[in-house]
Amino acid sequence: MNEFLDWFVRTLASAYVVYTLVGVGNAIIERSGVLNLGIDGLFMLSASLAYTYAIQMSSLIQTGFLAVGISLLLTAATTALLYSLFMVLNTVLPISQGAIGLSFMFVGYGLAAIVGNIGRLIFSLQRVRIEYISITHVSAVFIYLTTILAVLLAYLLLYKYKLGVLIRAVGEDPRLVSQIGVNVTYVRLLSGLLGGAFIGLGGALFTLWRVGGWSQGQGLNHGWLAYAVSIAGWRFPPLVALVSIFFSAAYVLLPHLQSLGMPIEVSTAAPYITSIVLMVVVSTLHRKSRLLADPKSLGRSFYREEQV
Amino acid sequence: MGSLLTGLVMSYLIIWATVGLDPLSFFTTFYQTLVSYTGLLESLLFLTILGTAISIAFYGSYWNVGAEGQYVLGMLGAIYVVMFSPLSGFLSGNDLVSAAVLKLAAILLGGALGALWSLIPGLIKVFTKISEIPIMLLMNYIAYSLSDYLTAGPWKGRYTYGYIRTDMISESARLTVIPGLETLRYEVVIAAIVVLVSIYLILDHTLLGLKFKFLGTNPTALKSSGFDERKVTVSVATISGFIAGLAGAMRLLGYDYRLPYNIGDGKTGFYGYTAILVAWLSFRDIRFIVPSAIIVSALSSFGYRIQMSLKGLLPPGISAYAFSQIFIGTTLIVYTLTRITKEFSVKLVIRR
Amino acid sequence: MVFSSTQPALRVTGVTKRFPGVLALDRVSLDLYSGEIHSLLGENGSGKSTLAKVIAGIYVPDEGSIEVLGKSLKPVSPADAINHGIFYLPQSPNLIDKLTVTENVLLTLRSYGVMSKVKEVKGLVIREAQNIGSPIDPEAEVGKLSYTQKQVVELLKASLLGTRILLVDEVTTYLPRSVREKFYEYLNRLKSEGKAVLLITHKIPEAIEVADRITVMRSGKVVKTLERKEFDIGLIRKLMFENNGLSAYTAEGLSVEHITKDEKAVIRLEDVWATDESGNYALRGVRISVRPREILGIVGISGSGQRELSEVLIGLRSVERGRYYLDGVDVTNKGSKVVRAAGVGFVSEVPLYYSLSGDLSLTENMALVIRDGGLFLSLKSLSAKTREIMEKYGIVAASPKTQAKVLSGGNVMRFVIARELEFARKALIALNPTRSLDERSVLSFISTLKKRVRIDGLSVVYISESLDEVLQVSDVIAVINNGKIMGVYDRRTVEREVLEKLMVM
Repeated sequence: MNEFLDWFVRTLASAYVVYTLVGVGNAIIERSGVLNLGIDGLFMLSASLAYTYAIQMSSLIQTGFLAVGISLLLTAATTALLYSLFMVLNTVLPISQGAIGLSFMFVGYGLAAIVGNIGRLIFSLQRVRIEYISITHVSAVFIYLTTILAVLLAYLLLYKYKLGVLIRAVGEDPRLVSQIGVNVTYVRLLSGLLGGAFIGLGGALFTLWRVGGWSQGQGLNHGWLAYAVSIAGWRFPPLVALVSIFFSAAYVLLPHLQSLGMPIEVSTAAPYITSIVLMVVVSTLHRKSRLLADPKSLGRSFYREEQV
Repeated sequence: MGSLLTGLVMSYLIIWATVGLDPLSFFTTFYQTLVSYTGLLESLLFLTILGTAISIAFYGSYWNVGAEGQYVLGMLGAIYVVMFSPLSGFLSGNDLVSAAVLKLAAILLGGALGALWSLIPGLIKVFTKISEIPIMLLMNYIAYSLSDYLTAGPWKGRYTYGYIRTDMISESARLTVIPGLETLRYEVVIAAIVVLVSIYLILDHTLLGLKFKFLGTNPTALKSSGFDERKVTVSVATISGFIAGLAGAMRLLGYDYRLPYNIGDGKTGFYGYTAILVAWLSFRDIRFIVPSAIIVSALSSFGYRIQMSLKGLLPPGISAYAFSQIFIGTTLIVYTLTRITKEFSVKLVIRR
Repeated sequence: MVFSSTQPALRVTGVTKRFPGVLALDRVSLDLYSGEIHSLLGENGSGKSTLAKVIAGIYVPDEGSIEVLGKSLKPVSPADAINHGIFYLPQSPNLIDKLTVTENVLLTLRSYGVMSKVKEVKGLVIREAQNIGSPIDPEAEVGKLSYTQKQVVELLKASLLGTRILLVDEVTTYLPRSVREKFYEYLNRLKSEGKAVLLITHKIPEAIEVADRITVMRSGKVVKTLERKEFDIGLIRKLMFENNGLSAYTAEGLSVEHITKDEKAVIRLEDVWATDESGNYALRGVRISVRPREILGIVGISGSGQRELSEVLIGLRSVERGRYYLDGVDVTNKGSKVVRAAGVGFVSEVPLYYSLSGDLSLTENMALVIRDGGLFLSLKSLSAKTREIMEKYGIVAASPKTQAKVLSGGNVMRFVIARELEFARKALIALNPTRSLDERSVLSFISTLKKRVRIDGLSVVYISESLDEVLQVSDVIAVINNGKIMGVYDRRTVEREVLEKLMVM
């Protein structure tokens, strides 16, 4: 039993951390009114970036720990920048956010493959020790704590500081907010930086902690799973963290039902089915609370036209 | 067109920046692709059918990114009818008519399953307002798993020489090869034409098509005029899924003849995703679907050839998959940007 | 009149503003001094609101200049205006419903950076609210506040921003009497502090009561500016309505004979309760009935529930309580299909939102409502029909194939009016239908409407915010206030003041 718990906690941590961070990042972004449909592509890209950064770092920095740490930060920063571009495009171009999101998704997929392969190439050319590409020297507790702190940070920023007020206001009624004199594009850019950093960190931890390596197609669909968690948590960071626990537990345990006789294909599909069911069930519950409701202008294009 | 060229150039730049492929072989390969058109025709037909399916969904604001899953379900439906259903007995004799009827039934069932697969996210959207995009993408993977489950389980073949897959369907169930153009099948050509014509008729000459157009541009106007937008959404989802399912069914009956294992590993050719690009490039105009499909199939095939030529250069190599993904993405962005500046230049002027 | 300085706090010179199809402001000039309450008086469409929005930076003038304390300024954005001490207090508060009072205030305070804590502002809010004399809960969700409280929040914003020039746009018209008194006191306090107030209104008694000077506007031009000693109701009324504008609307009088009293009501709402998007009740126990050949005018101040009422009548909004009968048939919550099938037309105030798709052609937009039965559409005959209808109503456009959004605002409105008048067999629901129309189109619309009513027996529910328009058009008038019907009157016998009082209570 102890062994099981030990294994469970460790494995759960890796899934939990990723889904929570990415889910919270998505919450920040969508709270500002932009549909984050590029999430899967950008997640895959950040997973690949982390790997390649780590490989690069290994030749520059001697300490494994430091190298990995820097890779995490670099990935978070890169994803943050990419997302800020995404947000600006979505706000400035009066076209469907779905279109822009899908474009980013595809580009993300493609770039992820290229970036990852570059990393692999370098890997094969130089001998890179394992400690540069995976976080083996830090206990799970530390990572858990960091995640919880990150969630707390997100909550505080969104609900206790003006930054969050701006982000949420823009998600509710961007036209009104711009009439008050606030630069909507700037606010969306900030939320992209912040949310993107979270997502990038989640992707980086996916590669460096959970997998400890890279292979083609790494991370595919995990972006969508995190998206489902984000929706199920009503885009409210503390709730996202809570939902993530249950979801991650299910995700980790379900494949092992195979030993109880469930065919492997079903357990592969299980997380996807669970995600869908989760999203549907959650949405049927009433959401009158002002903190939990959908941002009123989510997905709507922003026109700064004069109205008669 | 300009955006395509720009997309092409941009993709090249990305590839060049990351790998360093010289321009000469890049463009030579491109030329070679265009010249060998028989292979192109095959993918052209499928991309046309799938592109139409997705295009009509776009009209109704329904982002059918689940065409891939609907395509797979189509395959499942087809192989079920001709191999595992009670009706498969009709194939044993030399009766051409019943074989034809059976094939038709298989194709239709494939369409129906595709419609079902599209209906589920459609209903979810209607009842819970959750975007269909993540649901359809997740369901694509569920479709792959479903196919694998059946292939490894109840539908496992007997004559498989150690591979996990189904048996091949019998000769009489297969679609008819066109002599002279061995990559084509009569039925597929007919289907492509029928689909294109029907969709055109529906969109421009029926009330349903008008409803689709309003659903995609101003659903409130639709509602205030006495129509139920939920019903229209469901119709769009169903029709779109049906056509995608048809494509899958015909793929199985005409080309694959069996279901493989790990079908999600590229064995579907990812037509469902590439078709999204086709639909997009067609500028929301049915008349441009075929030209758009031509271009896209040329480019996909091009992608594969690039991979071949690159194989000598890098160990793992950049897969055609990566290339086509980037290409899709950059083209979409460039295209979207050019559409914006064209349509909205007037509005941009007003803003200042 | 003595003002605190000889240099005007605000000087507007030669401002011109054009919108598609209409000249809203025609070389308008105005001076506003510190320590003055200056009233801008005019009827709907006179341009007074437009001028205020130009000063506030919401609209950019085509010509002309604006100076604040001698410094030339052309506010190209609301932020510019706020930076110069100008605050625009609109009729419908610029507040985000889902945020708290404190959060809304924090949004406007530019001195607080992105990383400032919401808590920091809470104390400010409490103190300033007491200062104004209207304590408010800083943690309250704005969406749940009453109209008066929302305006208090706006005033909080104004004073915390250090506003020197306050533009009050038709706010007082919609406050209860007791609150209005307090508001006037507040304005006078601002005046004694040396601030300047531009009070925009169309109510002459109010202007006379509060203002130091009155500027009358009409049709986008400044007619005259009067000093306090020159105030006279008769004079002002004459200045506001050149040919006593009321008569311009009386195209044809409506004789009573064809309203048969004992015919059953065509449209009937019984005790209807409906909520708006925020979950608050927009309609509280609404009861109306309209007979054939009758025009029921429903008037109320903006935000009294008119939009929701029109949506209920066309079947776009469901009711939580109550019944809706069309020709005696219960159509409650059955949706727009049933309502449309009964032959009810709908002319809305925002045609590109409610009735048309801008991206589609005129033919397609027409076909949405007017077509022969059946699943198949013949483009040729629909095109011809569209052309026919457009000619009949005098709508100018290149061809029925043009996209709807290309049409000017006025033409779009006329297109919708054409379509709906052609379609309506039994009844027509109109919500602020003349908003973007010029005078001639308004006259033609009203006369066509009355013809349809008299000759074809159409019933009309005419919902408007303009009391004058309702008085011209209706046979029966009802006042809606805060979701309730306050009273129903015969147009021939009712007094204007009675209606105004009910609108504002």
